[in-house]
Amino acid sequence: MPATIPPDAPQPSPDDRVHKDMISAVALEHDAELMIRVREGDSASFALLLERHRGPVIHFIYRMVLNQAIAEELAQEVFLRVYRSRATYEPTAKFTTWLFRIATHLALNWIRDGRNEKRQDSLDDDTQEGVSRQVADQQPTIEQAMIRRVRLQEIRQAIEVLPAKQRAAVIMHKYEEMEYCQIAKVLNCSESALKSLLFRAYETLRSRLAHMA
Amino acid sequence: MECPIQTKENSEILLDYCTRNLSAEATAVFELHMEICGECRALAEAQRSVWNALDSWDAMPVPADFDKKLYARIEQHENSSWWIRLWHRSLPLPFSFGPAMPIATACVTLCIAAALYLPGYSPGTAPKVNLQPPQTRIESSDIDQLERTLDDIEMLKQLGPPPAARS
Repeated sequence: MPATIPPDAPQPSPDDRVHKDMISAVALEHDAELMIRVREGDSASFALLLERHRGPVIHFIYRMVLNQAIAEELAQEVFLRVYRSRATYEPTAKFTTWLFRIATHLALNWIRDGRNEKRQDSLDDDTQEGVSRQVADQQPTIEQAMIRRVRLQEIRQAIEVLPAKQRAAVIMHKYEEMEYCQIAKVLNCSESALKSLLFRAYETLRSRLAHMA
Repeated sequence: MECPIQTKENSEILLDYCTRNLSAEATAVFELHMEICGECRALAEAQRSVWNALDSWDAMPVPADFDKKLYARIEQHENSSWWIRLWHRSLPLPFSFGPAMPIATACVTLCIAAALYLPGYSPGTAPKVNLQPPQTRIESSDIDQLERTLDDIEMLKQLGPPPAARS
């Protein structure tokens, strides 16, 4: 609920307000600043943006398409599109909202076109990676490794059965820790529609994964 | 408080509670509610299990040569012809021809089909027509019919008179 301002409260001067707005804009939208510099031809700013967002974009797309090679290809396409549209970029929304909108659009298109048939990674990649990480940490037994493999399989299947938009919403909410309003903007829906979407998605996941307590 | 299960507007309370994004005050209110609402308690427990299960799914590592490949693609784009770059630049993002292309193709096909089969249309390569005047055509068909009739009479003559005439 927005805070109400008492009528006798001193009004901030226009200069103060401009200063405050500038500080918050710089703090919140450092990425947009970098993008504007990219627009002006600063390649170092593009490298900074890439450094900051490369990981989240790849992880997001990977969880959407469940294929490492495709995730890499699509993530590159995302940054290529960012670079290509630098000249027309206007900071009307948060940079990450714009970035994830492109990423979501590409991933949803890929899923919609049915290009994911029989092209998903086998679980071996995940499992081997996970096992090797655990070997270094705790020396898991074969049984533990197998349990982990089964759990991962179940999680992936549970995510996979979700409709693409619900999948995107859950991944942005759970793994990218984005706010409701931002996810709603990325998915081009209202906040209440998004909450309903998330509630339905988690309902499905609860029915499939609740036994993993 | 209103039960989050009963009112969909409050569903975010449950999600935020499980993700520990709920304020301390709201958490206390919700926990108080859970003491009397078994349904919410069970749901929160199940949601937390889901949350923990999802935590165990690691994403792929960032490929070591990701930047190198990307910069190679950017360079390729920069070296491409000016009209390709202009084409890419003119496309609003995010945009794709995915749904537009089949619709456009269907429209073009329908237009061609309509143009070919609608009455009154005279295409450039019209089918061959009989250029003889109508009167000639009638005459030729009359001659054919006459010939066929004469043949029939000839055949009947060869077969002999009808049985009634013989008796």
